[in-house]
Amino acid sequence: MLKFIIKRIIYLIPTLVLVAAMVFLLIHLIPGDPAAVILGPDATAEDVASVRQALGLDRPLYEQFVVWLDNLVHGHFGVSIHSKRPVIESISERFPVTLILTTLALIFALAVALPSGVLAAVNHNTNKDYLFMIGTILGVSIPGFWLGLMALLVFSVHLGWFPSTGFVPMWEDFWGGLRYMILPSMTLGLFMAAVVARMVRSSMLEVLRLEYVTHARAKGLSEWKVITKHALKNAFAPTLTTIGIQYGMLLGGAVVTETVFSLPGLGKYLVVSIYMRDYPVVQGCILFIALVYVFINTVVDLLYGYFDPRVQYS
Amino acid sequence: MSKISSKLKKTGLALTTTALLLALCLTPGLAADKPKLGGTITVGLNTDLTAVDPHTSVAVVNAIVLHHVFEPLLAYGEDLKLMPVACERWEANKDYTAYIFHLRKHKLFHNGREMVAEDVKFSLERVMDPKISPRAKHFIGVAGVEVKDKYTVVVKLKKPFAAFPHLLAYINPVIAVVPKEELAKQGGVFKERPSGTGPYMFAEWKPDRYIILKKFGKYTGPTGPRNGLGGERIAYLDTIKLVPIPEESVSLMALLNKEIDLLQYFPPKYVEKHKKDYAKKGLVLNEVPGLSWYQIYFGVNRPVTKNLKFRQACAYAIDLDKATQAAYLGHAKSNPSVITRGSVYRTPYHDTWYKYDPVKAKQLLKESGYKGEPVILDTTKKYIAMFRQAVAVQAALQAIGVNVKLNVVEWPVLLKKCVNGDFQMLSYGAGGTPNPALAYAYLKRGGFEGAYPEIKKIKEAALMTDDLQQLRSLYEKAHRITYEQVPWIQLYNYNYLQAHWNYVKGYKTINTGYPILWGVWLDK
Repeated sequence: MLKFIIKRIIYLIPTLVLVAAMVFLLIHLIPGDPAAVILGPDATAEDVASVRQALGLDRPLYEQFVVWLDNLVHGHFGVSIHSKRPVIESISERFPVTLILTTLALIFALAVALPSGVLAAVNHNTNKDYLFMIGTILGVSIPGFWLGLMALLVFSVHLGWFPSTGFVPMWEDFWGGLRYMILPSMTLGLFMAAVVARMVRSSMLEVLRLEYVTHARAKGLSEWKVITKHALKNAFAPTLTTIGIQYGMLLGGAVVTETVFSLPGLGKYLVVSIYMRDYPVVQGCILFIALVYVFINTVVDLLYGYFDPRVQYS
Repeated sequence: MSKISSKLKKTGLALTTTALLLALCLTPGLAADKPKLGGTITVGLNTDLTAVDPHTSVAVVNAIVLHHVFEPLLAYGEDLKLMPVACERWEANKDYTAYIFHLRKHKLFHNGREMVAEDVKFSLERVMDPKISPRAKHFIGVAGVEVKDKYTVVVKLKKPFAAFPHLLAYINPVIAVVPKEELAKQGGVFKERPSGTGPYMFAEWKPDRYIILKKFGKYTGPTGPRNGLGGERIAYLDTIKLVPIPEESVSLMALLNKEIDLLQYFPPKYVEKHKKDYAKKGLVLNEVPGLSWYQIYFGVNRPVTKNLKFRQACAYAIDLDKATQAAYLGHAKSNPSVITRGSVYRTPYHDTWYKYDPVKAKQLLKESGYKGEPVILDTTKKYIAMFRQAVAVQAALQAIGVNVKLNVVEWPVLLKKCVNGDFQMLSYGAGGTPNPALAYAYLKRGGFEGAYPEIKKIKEAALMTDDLQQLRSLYEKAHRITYEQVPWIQLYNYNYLQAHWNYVKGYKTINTGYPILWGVWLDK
């Protein structure tokens, strides 16, 4: 397994270099100019040229890339063009917020998806199954933005159960912080719950047809044991891949939820920085998200072995 | 007898005094109007800070916050007249090549040190440094800043410039006086804890969460009634908490939940709901005509739009009132001039514009030789009014047979197109530019200034005088040129809509739309 991990880390290096090059090129290729954004609506072309020079944006692109890469190798993600603050400092402030949001969303999603997916598979082609299918279609189709606003309207404005805006770090005040995270994490987790539940259902349907399940039943095991110990464990391996991909996507894609609920997360920071053409921030954030994404997938690959002993790491 | 009379007099006086005191206490209006010290106000802003150094950024939100922390030498009153802030008074020499600023004495920075002439010199020189300030080029005419004595600064200019004090009163960014030593502590640029001379100190910034300002107890500043950004600056509140809430529906929910006390931008679509419902609950809505101006630019060197008759046809085809209504749902006032209504420089001539006449528009379009070529109108959805006005203009022009195609781009792309003059038609808007000469400088866009140098001469002449009659006459000339040549179609100035709960007292919405919180107290 150690060999496998080392191999993954080695593969990580060219992946990150490729991501870095692509991010750098893409952000510089999209139209718009950070100098024009800094100067605002009443700037002249001369003003913009002067700020571009001050920021080093007038230098050839390859030269800018080499400088950035050199800084990266030395552990410097750069400094925000607008706030002048180190990018890594801003990422370290915002990433924990996104991590908590997505982890709570994941917990919510699994808590909903696993039992409902299993229940639908066990009750295949019954009313319970049809109800489940309608529920998951709704979960996938309802836009997170609308759902967030509706949740705020009902639970915050009318019922007054949760605050409508703000954030308290859970590491400073666990229960106080949790109050601010319940609505956003449920809003974010609903889509994931629907996707994972459908995956659980179809995997379970496949596994429940296999002979070893019939064998387990023939041995006289209770239905609960057959499903949880024998069927679900095997059905969970393909679901794990979906969870890994979804979780990675949540990390980068929590922006809508973060915007609706005014959470100071990484996704929102990234999108605002793209609008403002804050190149160092965009590059730093995307590289960081790529790193986390690769890490999550490595963890998922390692967990595979637990759920499916046939998987070899050599 | 005299003793009795004296006793009666004393008793009468005591009774009268007691009655008066009781009346004062029992009159809710009078009691409520007396400012109360202390408390925390929470204000909803539509975006977060991007920087905390007053000299390095022109983002509106930064200026809103930093006006409380820093002070410029001069500021605009509500009538757009200049008023002293960090200085007591100023004067110019006869030919407007030197300005003397007499600073307020015993004015302290938040670190406790007295603000002196050296600080003003340092700050102005910092604003003139292109590596620091995006406004450096505006100060290119400054020959030097001299310290005459501890409280007197002289700014010498390379050539006469009567409008120079207007540069010091910029609404955004704040041309602030900053303490050198505090900047040095943060590596030459304020990154987290800026320090100025304003009535509030910058205490904390948690990005995308909140900004905390605390009352500066040793503040001394201008006297006289509050007037825009001028006049007295009394800090009644102990703490100001500013919370960025980008989504407008959510910000309204936060206001209704009383999680915030005051909202910077009240969404126009909820005004009717306010009248029917929120007002009864005690929510106060302020609506004040603003300085921001919105318009359509023409690229006067570009195919099709370089044709004067085509531009005039467009002007006849657009009903300013209808376009204004479409863009701002009735919360704006159409204005064909760059000069805001209520400005001292405005004369009735600035209402001169093309009366909506589609027949005449079609006739001019025919005369222009237009053959149905596509005309691109660039706009953005970042500022929804720019998009809405573009849709309204597109509809109006399509009605007379112009093949207008909307090109919706991101804000940075629109900015770049605007700066480079890379457009046929462009839907745009800008914040307040109280000095009309600086507003007419926008005619560089689209190549008009190059094609019609007369406008540049008028602008330069206006910058050389502070004679009101002469300025009015120059601005009338400038408006006549824009009327005849149609390099742009000025559409409207929109109103600022701000809402707060009725326990927020002393709050006034000003024509810049900046929530200013000195002079404000809570009566909860």
